[in-house]
Amino acid sequence: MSSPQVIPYEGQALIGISRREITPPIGIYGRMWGASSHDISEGTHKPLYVTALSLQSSPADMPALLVSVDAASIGDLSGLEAHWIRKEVMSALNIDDSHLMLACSHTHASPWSAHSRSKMPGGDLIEGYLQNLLSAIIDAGREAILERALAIVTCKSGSCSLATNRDFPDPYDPNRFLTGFNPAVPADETLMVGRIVTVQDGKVIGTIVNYACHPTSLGWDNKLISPDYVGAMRERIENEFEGAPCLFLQGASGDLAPAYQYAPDVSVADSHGDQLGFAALSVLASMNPSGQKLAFDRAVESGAPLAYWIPKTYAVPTDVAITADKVNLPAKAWPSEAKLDREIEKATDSFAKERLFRKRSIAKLMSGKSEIELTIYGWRLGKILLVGVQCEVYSVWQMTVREMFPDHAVVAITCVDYEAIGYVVPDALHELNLYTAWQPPFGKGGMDALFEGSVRQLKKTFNQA
Amino acid sequence: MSFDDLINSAEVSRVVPSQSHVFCGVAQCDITPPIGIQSNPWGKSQSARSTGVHLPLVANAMVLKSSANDEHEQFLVALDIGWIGCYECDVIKFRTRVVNELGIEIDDLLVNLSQTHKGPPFCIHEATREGAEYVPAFIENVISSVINICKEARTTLEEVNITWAYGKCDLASVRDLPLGETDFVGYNPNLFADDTLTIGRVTNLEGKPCATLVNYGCHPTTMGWESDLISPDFVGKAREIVEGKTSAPFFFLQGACGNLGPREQYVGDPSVADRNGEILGYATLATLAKMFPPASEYRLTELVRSGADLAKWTLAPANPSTTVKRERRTIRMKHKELLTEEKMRANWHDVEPRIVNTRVQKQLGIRFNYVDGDYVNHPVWLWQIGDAIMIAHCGEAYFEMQVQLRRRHPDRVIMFMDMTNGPGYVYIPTRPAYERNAYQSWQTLLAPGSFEEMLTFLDEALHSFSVEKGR
Repeated sequence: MSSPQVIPYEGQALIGISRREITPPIGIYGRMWGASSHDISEGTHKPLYVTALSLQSSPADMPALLVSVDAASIGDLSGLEAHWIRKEVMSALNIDDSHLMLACSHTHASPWSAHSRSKMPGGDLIEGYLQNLLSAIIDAGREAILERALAIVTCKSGSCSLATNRDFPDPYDPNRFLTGFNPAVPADETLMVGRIVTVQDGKVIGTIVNYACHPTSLGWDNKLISPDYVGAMRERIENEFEGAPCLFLQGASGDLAPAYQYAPDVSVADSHGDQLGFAALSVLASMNPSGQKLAFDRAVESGAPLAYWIPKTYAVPTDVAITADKVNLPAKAWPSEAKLDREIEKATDSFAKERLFRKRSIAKLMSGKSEIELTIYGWRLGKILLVGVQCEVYSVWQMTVREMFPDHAVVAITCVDYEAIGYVVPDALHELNLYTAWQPPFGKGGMDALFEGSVRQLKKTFNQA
Repeated sequence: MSFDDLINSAEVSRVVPSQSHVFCGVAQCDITPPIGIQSNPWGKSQSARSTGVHLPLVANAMVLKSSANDEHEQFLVALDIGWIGCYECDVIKFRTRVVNELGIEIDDLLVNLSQTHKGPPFCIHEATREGAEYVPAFIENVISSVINICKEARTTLEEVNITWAYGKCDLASVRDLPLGETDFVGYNPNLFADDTLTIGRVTNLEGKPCATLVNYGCHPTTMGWESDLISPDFVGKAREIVEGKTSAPFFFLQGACGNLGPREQYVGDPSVADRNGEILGYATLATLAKMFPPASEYRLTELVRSGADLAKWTLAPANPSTTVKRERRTIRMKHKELLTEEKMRANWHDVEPRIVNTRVQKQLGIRFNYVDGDYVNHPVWLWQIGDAIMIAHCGEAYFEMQVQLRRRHPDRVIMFMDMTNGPGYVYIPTRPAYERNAYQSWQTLLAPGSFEEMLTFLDEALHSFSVEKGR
């Protein structure tokens, strides 16, 4: 009989982490909500950041760069700003397509940094903001690569009940769903937490929080730039680790948001951040020391017959695999740009105009296509899998992917390179009068294609390493 | 019907947290004993004498009343103490004295022991090892401290709101580990433990925290025989973390812990207890952070047309229950064949004599005023505090007890408290634990099937308490 042991989800590699601030100037176009009565930001709640993590097996290997960006999206489908930033970053840091993920936190209190909005009030600041964002990503990425050290990443999952289901049947109109707290449906509470510790001196150089929940604590009456709950969450964690940066990665939150949201008061975002931050600290405290498994050591006869377990060092896996491939998702029929332009012309309500702007942005991508091409990233470090997708997704995606890889920690990242294309929802929801079903351009079969593509991509990481 | 009329009438558009509106006073004091006192109860320990203090031991007291004029008081006391395990030292010398001093009935006092395995004995009959000379004064100090803080709690009485919520904490693991023919007491990675954390946030009418009630099932056995320190185990660090944020006393109320313990335990290094305390402390803060403001509920109030059609929920004043009441009931359960001392010693002939003495003493001490013919009389206290029910008894139940009761009564928050008010100092294992001959099944007096009887009894008893949530 082999002696019982529990091996943690770990991997060892050369890792660096670095951060730059990207808080935009006051007065920038900040209208993220159709219901807002203002267009520009009037101040800052907490700073916005980009936080870059570099990962490579040896100095000779190309570094992979995972960048957490405090933004709802990077531009939109009209301007393809994320495409442009990716190209520039890859060129400046000499990395290829599969080695770069720009993971948006999806905060709804960030500027709408799209050239298509440059004629709006405060829109003149967008170009400068995008240039600053580009520089910040390149600088943080370069510094992360330069300061890399041999480190062990430990991942462990816990739970946090901040996220709740947000598809609420309209009590006034049974044929429609509202986007807001639905207390009747349980939410995926999975909280995946990572800790990065240098091998040489055992120092924590960074932490990772991967959690699915719309950063919509703050709503249309908030006039401050804010990372939403991510800000206070980061502060809570970083205070306990001498300021080592915490990298936030948005999970599959298409159907998930805080129960108490759309508030004008930043204290609501802060208390949500406390909830997530403390839950993550609890998970961090439950991890073994880095590079150690928990192993049954011996039986001890005391008042009771005791089983004595102790942490023991073991060979932490060092294999790194970085992959990415395109996947095609079925598209819906979509109106033309010209048609939508005419409708925008006629629209009077601000919410109706905002919906049409978003629709028009997608129309440019859609012209005559029956499929939409997205990139799926599959990375692996030892027993840790990272899967990244360029859309918003319902939580069933991450739950199912995690079920497919029970022997690994799965870091499930959405809103990667995000240009606000929208949601991938389960087929059963497609016909409903539900925002997340009618807003996006993806047709039926989208969830299956994304799920199958994600699993395929992660399986590739076992062949490549 | 207008939108407003409709949402006001729709049950689905209202979320009411479990709450209470009562009168409450709180006090806390340090009960750390002098260094040198006997405080290493492990059978495996070479010496029981303490050589230092990891973190202080603490006593907390709370008085509860339904209104300022209510003459009926109920006291909840939480102590960083291991166990008593003896009717004389518990009921007669301790609790009877406390209630006489306070002028209350004995059923108006609940004393929950954290069960730290790094403190002095609270039963004079267990003061038999190195450092025993300090034990009588320690016991006297704890008893007088409890009397004092209960009286002090009365002086701080004020109108409060209590918000109750379940959270999760990953500290506890199942500690029944079958290896070969033997069931060992230690981490079993193949089974899921109950991770339910039950919190009561007590705040005064200005919203200032008065106390945090933390009910969680997990043996405080991080620190084992190799440590000579006095310690509250993981409770100490958890208290530091929570009180550091709330500035209000942290009441640790041990839950159903018969088969729960930390994954990493029995160690000499107090930093492991601190890490375990961080798991509980931060999980408590996460649960506190998710609560709505005191005496509030959540209502759907507005439909907002934005990029999407949004359901706007807002906070509204709630009308929490003011009920404070208590009952004591007795569960009659069959006991096993009671072994004579000679038989017990014969059974353990291959175990070290000193360890056998400890086991024999425990077995005989727990029978007094508990065994009644073929049965035991197992007392249980049920306290209703608004939307929450405290179920308290002195045994160490398998965690499945609290899981089942919470599942069967989702409309109220249940604080299930082991290690409270004797007699009944026994494990309450599930039937399969007897089949595996787990430690808890041979330690207990109770016959197989007792767990299942107790569960049925409590399930039925809960139905006699009114549900007032969301009035």
